[in-house]
Amino acid sequence: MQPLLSVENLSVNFRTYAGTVRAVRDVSFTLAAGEILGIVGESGCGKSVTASSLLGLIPSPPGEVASGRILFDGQDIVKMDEAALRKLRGNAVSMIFQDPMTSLNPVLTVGSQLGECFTAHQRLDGRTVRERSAELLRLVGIPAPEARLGQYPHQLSGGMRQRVMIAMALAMNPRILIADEPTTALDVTIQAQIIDLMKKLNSELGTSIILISHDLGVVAGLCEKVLVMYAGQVVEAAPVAELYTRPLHPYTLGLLHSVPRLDAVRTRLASIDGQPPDLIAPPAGCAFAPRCRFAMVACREAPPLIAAVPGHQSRCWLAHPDCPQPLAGGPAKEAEPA
Amino acid sequence: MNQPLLEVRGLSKFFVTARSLLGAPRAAVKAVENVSFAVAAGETLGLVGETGCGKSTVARTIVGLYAPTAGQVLFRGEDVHAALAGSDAAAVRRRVQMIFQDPYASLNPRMTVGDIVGEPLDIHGLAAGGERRDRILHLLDQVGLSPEHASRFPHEFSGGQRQRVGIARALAAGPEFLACDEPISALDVSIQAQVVNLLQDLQEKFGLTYLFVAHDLSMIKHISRRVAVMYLGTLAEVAPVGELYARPLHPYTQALLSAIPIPDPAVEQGRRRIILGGDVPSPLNPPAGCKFHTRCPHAFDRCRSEAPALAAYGDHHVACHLITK
Repeated sequence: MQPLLSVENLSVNFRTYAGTVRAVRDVSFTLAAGEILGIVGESGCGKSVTASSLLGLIPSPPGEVASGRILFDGQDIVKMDEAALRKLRGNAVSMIFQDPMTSLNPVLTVGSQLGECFTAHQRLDGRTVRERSAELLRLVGIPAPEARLGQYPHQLSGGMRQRVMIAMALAMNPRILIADEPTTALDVTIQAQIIDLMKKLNSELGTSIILISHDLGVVAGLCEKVLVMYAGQVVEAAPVAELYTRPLHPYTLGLLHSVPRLDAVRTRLASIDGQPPDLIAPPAGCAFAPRCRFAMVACREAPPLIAAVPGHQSRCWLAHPDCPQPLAGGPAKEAEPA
Repeated sequence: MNQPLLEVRGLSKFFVTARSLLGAPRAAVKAVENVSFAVAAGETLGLVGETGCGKSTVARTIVGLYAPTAGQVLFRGEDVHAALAGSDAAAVRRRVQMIFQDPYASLNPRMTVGDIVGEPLDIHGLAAGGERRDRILHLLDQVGLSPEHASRFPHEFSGGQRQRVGIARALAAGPEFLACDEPISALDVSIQAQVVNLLQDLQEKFGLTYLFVAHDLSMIKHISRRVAVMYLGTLAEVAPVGELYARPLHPYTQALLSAIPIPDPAVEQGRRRIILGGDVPSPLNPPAGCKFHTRCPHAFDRCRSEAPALAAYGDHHVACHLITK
C-alpha cells in the first residue's frame, strides 16, 4: 500500500558561528493513513527539527534541508514554494506546538485566531466561521464554546489553551496531525484528557498522527509504531509492542531502564553516563558508542540501520546477523538491574 | 516516631494580590492553607501535586524564603522563622538548604563554579584560603565534577552538570535537611537518573533528610519513603510509599495514579483510566468545602459544604469524607 507520507534520507543542517550543526542526519520513515507514529528522543536529538521540516518550517537561514525528499501525495514538500506550503499548512498537514502558553497570539480572541484557520483556506461568511469554530471547540471538549470564542488566551487555563491549539489544527480536517510534545507543559490529569482526545480523533476521524515526545509512557499508550532518535539519527524503529519488550538498540534499552516505573520497584536507576555528542562534529563511528556499555571495536565504524527482525530496525552492530551474540530477547532481561 | 527532624504545623501562606486604598488586603492567593506534616531524620518525604497546588511554596517557606501567614516550621523542635528573625539566622540557614528547580536560573552567570560553591563557606565563615579551595574541590568531587570545573562559568555546563553545581552549593554549609524543589524536572530522562542516583548516594553518605518536591509520581515513588499529596493548597493524603501506591484512599490520588502513563504497551492497553473532568480551580477563589469536590467523581452534599480534616488511619493520613461515610 502507498504510504500517506514518506520521508527519504532527510538531512537538515543549521549554519552557526560555531560551525554547521548537523541536526538531522539521513532520517527515513513512512506514515500510513490512520497510523499513529511516535518519535522519541531527548533534547537536541533532532525530533522537533524533523517535525518542522515536514511543514517546511525550518527557518532559512540559518537552517537548510541539505538532502532528502518528503513525499506527501506524490509531491515533494522540500521543493515546494512558499505559496504551495501555505496551502499545505493547516490544511492537509497541521501541527500542534509544544507550548500552549506562547503559541497563541495574546492580543487576539480565541474566536478570531480559530476563524483564521478557515478564512485562510476558503471563502466563508462570518456566521459560518463562528458556527464552525464553536463546533470545533465542542469537539475538543471545551464547555460553553460560544462564550469562549470571545475570550483572550490569558483567560484560559493551560489545558484549555492546548485544546484550542488542537482545535485550530483540526479546523480543515487535516490528513496528518503533527503533535510536538503536546502534553509536556501540562499536568498529568490534563495530559490524560489530551491523550484521550487524540485517540478519539484518530479512531473517529481517521487522522494520522505523528507524536513527538520524550515520555516513553505517553508513546506506549498512544502509538502503533515508534522511531527512537539519537544525535540526529534514527537509531531504532519498531512496532510499539516490539520496541518495549525487545529493544535492540542499547540507547533504547538505557532509556527504558533509566525511568522509574509506577508498576515496578527499582532500587537504583540505570543511568546512561555522559552527555549526548556535539552535533557540529558528530563522532565518526556510532554516535552512541562513547556512552554505550556494549561498545566494542566495531563501533568505530558507523553502523547502518539493520533490519534484525522484519519491521524492526536498529542502528547497532549488535543487531547484525554476523554478530556472535544476537541481542534479540537476551540482554533486555539480563541488563535489568537487580 | 520520636521527635521528627522537621515538623510543619498548620502552615498557611497567602499572597496578597490586591489591596484597598488604605492598604488592607482585598484579595489573596491561598497558596498553602493549614498544612501539617513531619519529616523524620534520614528519610525522604515526597511532596507531589499539580502546577499551582502549593508544593513549591511549602518548600520555600520551610527554608525561610517566605514568611508564613500562619503556622510554624519546627526544626529539631525550634521555630525556624523565629530563629531567622533573631540572631541565630545563620545557624538555621546552615542546617536547612535548598536545591532549586531551574539549573539555568539558579546559578549566577558572572561567578565561577568554584565561587558559587564557595559562597556558603564564605557567608558562614567555614573556611578560607587553601582550606576553602580544598573544600570546594572536595565538594565538586562529591557531586561528580572534576577540579578543573572550578574555574569555569555556568554557561559552559550542560543542565545536568549545572544541577550538580547547585547540589554542591547546597552541601557546602554541611546541612542536615535539604528541600529539593523539582530538582530534575528541567533535565532529560537519562540525565534525571544520574542526578537522582547522586542524591540517593549523598543521602546515604551524609545521613541527609530530604523533602523532595515533584510532579512525577513515578520518580516520587522511586525516591521517597513517605509521600504527601497536595491539591490546591491543602494536603489530600500522606502515607508510607508502599501503602499510598498500593491503596490510595483519596479520589484525587487515585485519579493521579491512574493518569500516569507506564512505559509498557501491554500494561497500557489493559489499564482503566480515571479521567478527571475540568481544570484545577483558581487558588484566588477556591471552592467551598472540600477543594476537590468540583472534579471528584464521588462528591456528595457534605463535600460541598464542609472541608474534610486530615485524619489518621494508622500511619495513613487522608482528608476525605468518603472514609467515614
